[in-house]
Amino acid sequence: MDKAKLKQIFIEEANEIIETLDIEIINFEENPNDKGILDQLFRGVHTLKGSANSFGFGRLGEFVHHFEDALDYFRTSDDEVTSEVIDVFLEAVDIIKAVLEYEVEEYEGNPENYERCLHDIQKILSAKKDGLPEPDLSAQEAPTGDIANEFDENPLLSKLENEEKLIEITLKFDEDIYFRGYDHGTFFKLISEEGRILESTWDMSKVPDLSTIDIQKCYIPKITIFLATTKEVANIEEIFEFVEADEFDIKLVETPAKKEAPQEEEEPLTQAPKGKTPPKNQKKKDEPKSFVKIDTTKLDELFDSVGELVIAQNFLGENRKISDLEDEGVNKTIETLSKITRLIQNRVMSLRMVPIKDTFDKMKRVVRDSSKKVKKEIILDVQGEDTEIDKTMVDKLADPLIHLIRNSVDHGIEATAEDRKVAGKSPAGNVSLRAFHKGGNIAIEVSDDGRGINRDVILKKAIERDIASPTEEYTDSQVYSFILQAGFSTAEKISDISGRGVGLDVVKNFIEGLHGKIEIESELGKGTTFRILLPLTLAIIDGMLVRSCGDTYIIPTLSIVESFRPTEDILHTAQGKGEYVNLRDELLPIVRLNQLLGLSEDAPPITEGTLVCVENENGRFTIFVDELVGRQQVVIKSLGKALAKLKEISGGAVMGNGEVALILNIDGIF
Amino acid sequence: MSDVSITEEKLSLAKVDRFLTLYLEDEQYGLDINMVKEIIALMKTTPVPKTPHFLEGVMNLRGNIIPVVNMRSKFNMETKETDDRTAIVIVGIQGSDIGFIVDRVEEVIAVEENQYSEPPQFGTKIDSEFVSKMARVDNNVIMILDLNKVFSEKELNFLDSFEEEEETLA
Amino acid sequence: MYIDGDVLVISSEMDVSDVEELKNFIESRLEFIEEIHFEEEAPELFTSSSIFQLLFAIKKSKPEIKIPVIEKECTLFKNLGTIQWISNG
Repeated sequence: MDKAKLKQIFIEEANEIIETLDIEIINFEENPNDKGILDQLFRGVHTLKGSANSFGFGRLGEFVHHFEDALDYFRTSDDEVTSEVIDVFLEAVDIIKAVLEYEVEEYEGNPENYERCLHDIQKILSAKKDGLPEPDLSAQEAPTGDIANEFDENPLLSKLENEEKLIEITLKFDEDIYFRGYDHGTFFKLISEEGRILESTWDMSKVPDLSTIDIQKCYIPKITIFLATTKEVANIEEIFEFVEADEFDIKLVETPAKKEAPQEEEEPLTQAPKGKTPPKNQKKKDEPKSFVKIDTTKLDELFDSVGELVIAQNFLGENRKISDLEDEGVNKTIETLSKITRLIQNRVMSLRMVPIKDTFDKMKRVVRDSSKKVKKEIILDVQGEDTEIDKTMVDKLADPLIHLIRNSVDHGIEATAEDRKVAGKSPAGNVSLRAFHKGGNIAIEVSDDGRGINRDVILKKAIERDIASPTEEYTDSQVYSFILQAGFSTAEKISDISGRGVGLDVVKNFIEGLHGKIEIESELGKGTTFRILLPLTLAIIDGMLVRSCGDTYIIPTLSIVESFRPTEDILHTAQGKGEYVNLRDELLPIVRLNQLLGLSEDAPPITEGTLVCVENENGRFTIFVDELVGRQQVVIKSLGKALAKLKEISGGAVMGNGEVALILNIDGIF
Repeated sequence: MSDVSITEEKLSLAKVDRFLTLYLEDEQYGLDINMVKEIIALMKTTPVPKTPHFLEGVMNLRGNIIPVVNMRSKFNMETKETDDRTAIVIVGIQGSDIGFIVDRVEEVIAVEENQYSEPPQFGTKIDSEFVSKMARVDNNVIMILDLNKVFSEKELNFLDSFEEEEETLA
Repeated sequence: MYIDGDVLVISSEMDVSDVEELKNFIESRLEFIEEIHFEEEAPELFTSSSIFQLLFAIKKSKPEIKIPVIEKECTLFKNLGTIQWISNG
């Protein structure tokens, strides 16, 4: 492998490590007793140091070296990691990011704050070391070459509780063990009575198949057991009194450093929840998974090809000539093909799905930073981190979420704890971040228990800003949506009075770019919820196929409220203001699709067609189409940059017959 | 000595340009072969509302949706019934694929430098500004199209050009 | 031990002779069994290791059968932490 390639790999790995540093530090602040997190941090930083030095990235190596010292000090001592230290650590991560960029781009000098942050780190360390026993720093003085050796310690050591030691027991029973009246089961029972069995490794490679196996013979030549116990090796040896000396082996696993690992809680998920959850679903938190890195463009290509496969398959399935064959074999094959195609499509889709956890983890830092800045105490509650979301969306979601969270912290939550007390709330503000499935969509909510939105103030400002009309009646959600409008936030004082409206139009644009929508719920004095609704994946939407003047169009079902055939008595025409339909006492405008798109005038009378009631940020209206064709999942394709600005059409989809149907952009129609 | 002659030969080879020739009405046009992605038989396109008349619509090219321009409409020629020789030439322009409906495609020809002449100022059926040069090959006159000129940066955005048209109409 | 459709449910408390019996039972019915798991939700221990060698033998003879306990590392047993399987399968 050439140097450039190696360097590329290093950069990727370094970025991965750095990404996790932020998160680990915040995690540690939340769980200050979990020194395991510090260990993990230390390991990451150590690896980073090693490879930085081997690439001649001296500045990075130097900085990381000191950071590592600091981490090592805290992981091996009982000293409390104060909030100030966390601040320094977080800044250090920012510096590491910047230095890496300097190294990669071969810039001269050091990034801003490099020296100062380095100094801060050294200050922490020197302050701590003064008058305190010298911490065991031998680890980081080892040459960077043999990281592997250094960390070749048994990971189970970290699972030991107070006073426990780790003992490794190897069972090497002969074939005739059952015959002699012994069984591994008996020994497991006896061993388990001496402590906690953490892990065992069974060599099952000698087991033959069912036809040749002799159950009376033992085919398990070796089982290694790791026991966490407060007893001595000699006590354990007593268990094996009657077994041949060469059939077992017991030894103490040495702890390399004299480090204390007061692990307060056991790993939560290893304790099988009793009751509902079947044990086979048990998942260990640290269960090793193996991953393959794939270039996302390759995934996209695969996805496109599968899209074509689905289309080709549909074509076969809908082909009259084939179905007229009435050949059972052919029909069956086509059916199987259809099943397999769908299976492949689902699997390929799932490749694009990743848990939203990483994005949510990043938000913890955002909350921390922004709450410090405005000097408010904020408690962040995160739910639904395992919700899976399209990879391309995850990347694009971070910015709008950061914006919403900052907005909640800055403006949603009351300015001071006193204000909250007066309102009868806890002094610390609560911000919650939730992800969950809602219908065929993914919902992501940012909520706060702050001041809520003052409807009247918003409406007044919206009218001043010419966003709203003074004569019209607006629903609450319509009023709230004004704060997402461009031009609203230019009102200087609005954010102070209402607590909302700082550049939220940016968020709206982002979300719409992802074919999603954003809803706002608020109660004055109680709090506000911003809900982002996104399609499951960027690539596929659930669509309603409609026909107008012979052409097929697709309306995203996300926007559809209902559809109906109107009767004459609910139709109204307002002079010069177009047509309306009275739907349960609500007057909804009618948009005739054929007129809107400049198609022919050859549409049926309204009472013989269908009105599709849709909703966008401006409220509800109805679209008049000749007929509904059906509901279908479609793969969204862009019409290319040449047609990207067409405001009525958001894209196209290739239908089963290979032809293209256009997808209506509900937000651009009315 | 021999080395020199080979180099000269190479040089002269390098000067040859290759063009795909195609017909609109009875005139022969050439398209730089490097821009041509592929040629396919005419297929159904989906009309896109609110676009200029020369945009025939969009079509599915192996899963991707691309715009299709009717070359005759673009050059303000009379429309003609399509037949089995009508073809769509897929061309890459400024990073986008665009299909062009032409009466028929002929062949790929090589044009040497000395076969070019300046474009005519008049007498052609299409606006001469789209013709970058002329080539005379085996007694045929081929007008070399400059598609980058056919769609200026602005015009490639089919919508803008339409709005402009609308304005001029109004 | 019982059969529920094509799922064979076994006990963790079988001794070697029970396992021998189970083996004879399965041998003739293997093609009808799609899945094997333990009836106890979270057994504390197992009686005989012979049950596991039988499960591996079954897996070897019918690779498509589902036996979650031996599929990957096993955390089923309450008192045994994690069991890692080494097999050539």
